[in-house]
Amino acid sequence: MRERFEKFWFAPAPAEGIAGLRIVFFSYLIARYAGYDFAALASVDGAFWTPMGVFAGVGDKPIFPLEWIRLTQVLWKLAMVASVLGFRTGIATGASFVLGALLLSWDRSLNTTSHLPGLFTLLLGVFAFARCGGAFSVDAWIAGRRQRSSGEFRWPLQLMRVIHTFVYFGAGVSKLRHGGLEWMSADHLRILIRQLDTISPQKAYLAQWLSLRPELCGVAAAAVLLLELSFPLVLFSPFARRVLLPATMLMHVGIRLTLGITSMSFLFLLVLWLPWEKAAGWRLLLKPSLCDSRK
Amino acid sequence: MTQSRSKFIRGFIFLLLFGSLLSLVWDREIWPFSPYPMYSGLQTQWRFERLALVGVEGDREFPVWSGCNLPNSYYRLRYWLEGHTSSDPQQVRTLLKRCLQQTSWDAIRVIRQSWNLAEGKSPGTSVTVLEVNSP
Repeated sequence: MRERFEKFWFAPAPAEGIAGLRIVFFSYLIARYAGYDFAALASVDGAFWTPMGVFAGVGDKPIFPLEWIRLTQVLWKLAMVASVLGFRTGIATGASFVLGALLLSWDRSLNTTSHLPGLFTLLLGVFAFARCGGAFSVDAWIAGRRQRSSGEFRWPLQLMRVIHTFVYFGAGVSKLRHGGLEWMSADHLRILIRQLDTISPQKAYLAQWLSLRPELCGVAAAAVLLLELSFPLVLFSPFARRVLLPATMLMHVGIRLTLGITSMSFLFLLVLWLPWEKAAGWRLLLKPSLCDSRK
Repeated sequence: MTQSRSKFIRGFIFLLLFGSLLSLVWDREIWPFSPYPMYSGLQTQWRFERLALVGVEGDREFPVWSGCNLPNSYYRLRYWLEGHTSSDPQQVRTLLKRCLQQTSWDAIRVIRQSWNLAEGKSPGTSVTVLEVNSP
């Protein structure tokens, strides 16, 4: 048991895996928040203040000078650019986490009701404590030597995957807890589809089509619940990965077409399940001369 | 990996997993941990009602989802209106007055929209619940 635990978290993995994910993850966050102005949230009325995260326990909405918020978000984005480049990676990912936690808590306390800012903060935290600058980075280029495989490069990948598993498993448990088995009833999904269709009718292209087919609604609801509750299997079974990960992708596309809910970030986070542990081979693809140097 | 680094990492892993598990078991958001209760509530009523804001300029009414001092999250605004319009209408009036001061609108209204979802795609009906006029 202990051996399996050690292998799961700390079996040697190449530095290229977590480094590749570092580039992809931070590039996505930069693109996602490029046009988002956290300073604009300062104008939101204090009546909406629901303190969370860094601001937990702060009774009234704090008044920050706009310049401070603007400076914080510029520094956050610069830190994320440095994280992509792998320049002073430890400092860059640490700053991305601290400043990100501040700004994303601000957003969650005042504006969004989404669970994504919290999820992003957790993943930023993992990067902050991981050694993710050992390859594909300015730091590695300056150091001029290749890092050997180590457990240091596996635990962050596994931890992010476990955190990601909680998203789907938690959603499944919540549905059972609040809705029970009735959550799988055709009427429940038909009502939900039509409710959401009143909010964003232009987005849900298949809403009307699906809501007129009760049997299909029941099957779709059951499939979603089954998928979410069985999602933890992807942590241990390659077969489950091959089945459940494409099914999860299809589920998000289906949600977009029938409920009108765009879950781009949840779709993106499926990149966590790419075989990053095999990324050393990708390095050879990028630089074939390394093959010769081994001879 | 040094022994102290190994201990630190194990502690960090434990902290994140414990937080995630606690949030799931308690069914409460302990930011950044969440039980991810996305659309978990059971819907049984074919009659659907929600509160919304509309701005008024002359004879023209238009939906207000964000802007002035409102959040740009549809759900944050809707849940706030649903939580306060009946229990604390004075606070809603105060908020809408502050909102109105930043615009050239004549009035802003909280309306209750209703749909009979069993009828398929229907335009629904709406009634004014609360109105604040420009001074």
